[in-house]
Amino acid sequence: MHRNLKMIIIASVLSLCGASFVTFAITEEEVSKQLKCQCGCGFPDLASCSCGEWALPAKAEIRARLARGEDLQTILKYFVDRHGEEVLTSPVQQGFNKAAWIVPSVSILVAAGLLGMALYRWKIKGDGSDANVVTSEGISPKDVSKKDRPYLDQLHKEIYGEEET
Amino acid sequence: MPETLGNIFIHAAFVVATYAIVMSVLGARTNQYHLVRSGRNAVWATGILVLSAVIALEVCLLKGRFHVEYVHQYTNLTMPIFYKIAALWGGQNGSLLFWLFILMVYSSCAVFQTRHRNVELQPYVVAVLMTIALFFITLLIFSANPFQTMPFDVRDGRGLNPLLQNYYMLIHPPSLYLGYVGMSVPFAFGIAAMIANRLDNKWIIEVRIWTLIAWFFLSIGNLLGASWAYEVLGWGGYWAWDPVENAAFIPWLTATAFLHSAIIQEKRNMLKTWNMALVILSFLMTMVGTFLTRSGIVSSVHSFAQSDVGQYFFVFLGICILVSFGLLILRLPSLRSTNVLDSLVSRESAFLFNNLVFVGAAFAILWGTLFPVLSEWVRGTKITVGPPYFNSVMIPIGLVLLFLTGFGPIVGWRKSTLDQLKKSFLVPILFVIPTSVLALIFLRKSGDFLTTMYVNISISLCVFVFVTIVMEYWEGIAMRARIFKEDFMTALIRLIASNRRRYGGYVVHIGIVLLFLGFTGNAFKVEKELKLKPQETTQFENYLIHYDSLVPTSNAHKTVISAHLAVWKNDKPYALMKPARVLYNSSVPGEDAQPSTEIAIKRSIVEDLYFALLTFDPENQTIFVKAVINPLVQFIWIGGLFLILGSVVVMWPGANGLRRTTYA
Repeated sequence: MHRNLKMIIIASVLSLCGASFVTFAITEEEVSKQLKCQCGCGFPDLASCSCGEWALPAKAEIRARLARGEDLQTILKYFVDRHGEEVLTSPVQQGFNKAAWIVPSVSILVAAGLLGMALYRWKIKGDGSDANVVTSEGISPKDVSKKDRPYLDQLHKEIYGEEET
Repeated sequence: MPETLGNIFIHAAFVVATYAIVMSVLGARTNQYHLVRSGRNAVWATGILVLSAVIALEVCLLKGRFHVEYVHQYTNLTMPIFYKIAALWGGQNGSLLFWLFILMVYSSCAVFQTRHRNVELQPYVVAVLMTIALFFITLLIFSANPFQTMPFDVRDGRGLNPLLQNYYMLIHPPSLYLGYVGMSVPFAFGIAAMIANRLDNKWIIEVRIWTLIAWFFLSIGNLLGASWAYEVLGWGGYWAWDPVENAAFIPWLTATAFLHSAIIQEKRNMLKTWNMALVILSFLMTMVGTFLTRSGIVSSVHSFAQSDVGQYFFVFLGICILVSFGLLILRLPSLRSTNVLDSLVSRESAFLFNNLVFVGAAFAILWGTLFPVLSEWVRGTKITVGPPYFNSVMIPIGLVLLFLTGFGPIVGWRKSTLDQLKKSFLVPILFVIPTSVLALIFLRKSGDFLTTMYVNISISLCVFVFVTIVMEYWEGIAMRARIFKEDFMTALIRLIASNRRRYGGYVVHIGIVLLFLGFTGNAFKVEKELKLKPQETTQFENYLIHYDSLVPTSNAHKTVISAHLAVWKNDKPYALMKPARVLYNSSVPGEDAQPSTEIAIKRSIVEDLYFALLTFDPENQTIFVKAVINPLVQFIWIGGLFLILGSVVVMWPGANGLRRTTYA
């Protein structure tokens, strides 16, 4: 049983990894999604816009360059050289721009680490101090004997029809 | 005349609001109740004055008093009456007056509510709310006066932006404003509790209710905004991570975090400082959002015309940050928890991590939104932070949140043992494994490895959360059926009624699951630009599209040119669709008509077929159409309805709710 399960997991992982090795030819849509239309339409990317003044000539340029066999980076560089970095829909991961990508994930990881540590310390502080715990009823467990607890729970259920969330 | 009266009302409101602040603070500090009462009455008086100013502006808009600059800018003679009314919030100055009006409605309600309850907080609540009101009145008087007249007479106006001439204009901005402005009330209660040093659990109950109301409207506002973008803008999507959309989403995230962590304070008397910080943060984020929209600091399709109101907002924001966090630091000793954590594996921990992820998500969005400004400051280079960035940062965060949505309810309060966890996870896992395998088999063509993984994880987590919610309901229903001998429907209704907050919350969670399903469908979106000549037929995925002809219709207000498309699916007639270009006639002599788009959508639960007429050649009637297949997008709107329904269940007033509140 265990062996079968392992086989399924290994097969699943391999099939997923296999998917990552499949390479697709780059499409006009993929390139134009990484560029922002400069016509002022406010659409999220060039792929969404079809204005005659900017989007259509830009898309024609992309098609021509793809036909010449240029790769994604070369095409993007062509547009950046002409229109500046603002033409890209997301910042390139180099220099100061790396901060855009790194800061959110690092902040969340650091905060998670700090929260974990705080919880651990909180828990250590709480170990053996159950008597200090105050329930939502405002009653400390030390005031509620084992004998009284079921009655308190029953009372709560009768009043509210259901246990607490 | 109405414009003169409007000006008088605004100036009078300035005086009366100042009076309310002075009397409330003085009354509270010197324990003179009649002064507090006078301050309270001044809130209502300010409310009446602001309402009068709103009526004065509406009269100007409806009567076409075009020598008033605002009226000239946002209305014209041919505009339908509804849009003339909505022009109140169509421009910078009017929308600030509208904001002030909503703030006064909230303030009046809050003051009315606290006339017998939390009386000790009331003067400070009044002082904080009226300070915010005073800020907006100051803006209206010195920077953005909607009653400003022009030195010459004009016969007609420019009219509202064509994109805004849509029924969403009547409901989306008001609901968003109700959400935004609503965050002022919890903030006022929080600040009042800190000033009065009344930091027991009374303030959190008030604050939770008011936050819930604001959150409810903010949710509706965001959903309506998404729907508007989808149906009107014509790019085939519903969320573009535009700075202004982000600005409305950030306070929603922090408020959601608060609504979860408030439960811990009520139940376990923990996280007081954190909750206070979240209340402050939610309000500040609404101010940041407003600052972004109105200062022109970031470029956005939603931005108002540039003006100097941004500077005012910047200063006010700075003051709010200093005062609120200063008070928070001052009151830290009173905000310490009296309880401790029993176990790392508990609902408290799950809620804390959920809070971390919510606030982390808010921070990530804020960071991405402000990064272009930061880049310009540091490098002197303008950059764009758009959908590819936000999608790659937010999808993993969203999936963690989705997991916690299912995990939270199945761990117990205080402590969960490993055995309890195994038992709780068993049934959901039994559903998740086959779902995941099936998704892996059938969805491999969805794109690259990462997309396939995300789609798989998202669908699996949706199933996981859904099963945990069903289990929660099932256990409750089974218990009631066993003890009270109730049938299924009676048990279900009474179960929800017995604890609306818990079971209404689960309905909201079902809404979230459906929303995530809808978002997941975006991975399978297909779009293509079609060039069609009259009577030409073309294949688009599994649809056959036949273009008939262009049909123009017009009235005094606009000209509509529709492309008539007949669509077949699986060799059967499926729909007649009419995407159109609309040209709004300009009332300004010599100015071209303003173009807009009317989208055609054939909706189904599996996928939407979406057409936008991009352009056409009037001579040979050749059209360029954007065709989009949007899978599962209907789940977003259905999920939104569940979210609203669940919120209503939670907020529904009742004896049980009151007892529970008092009890907690």
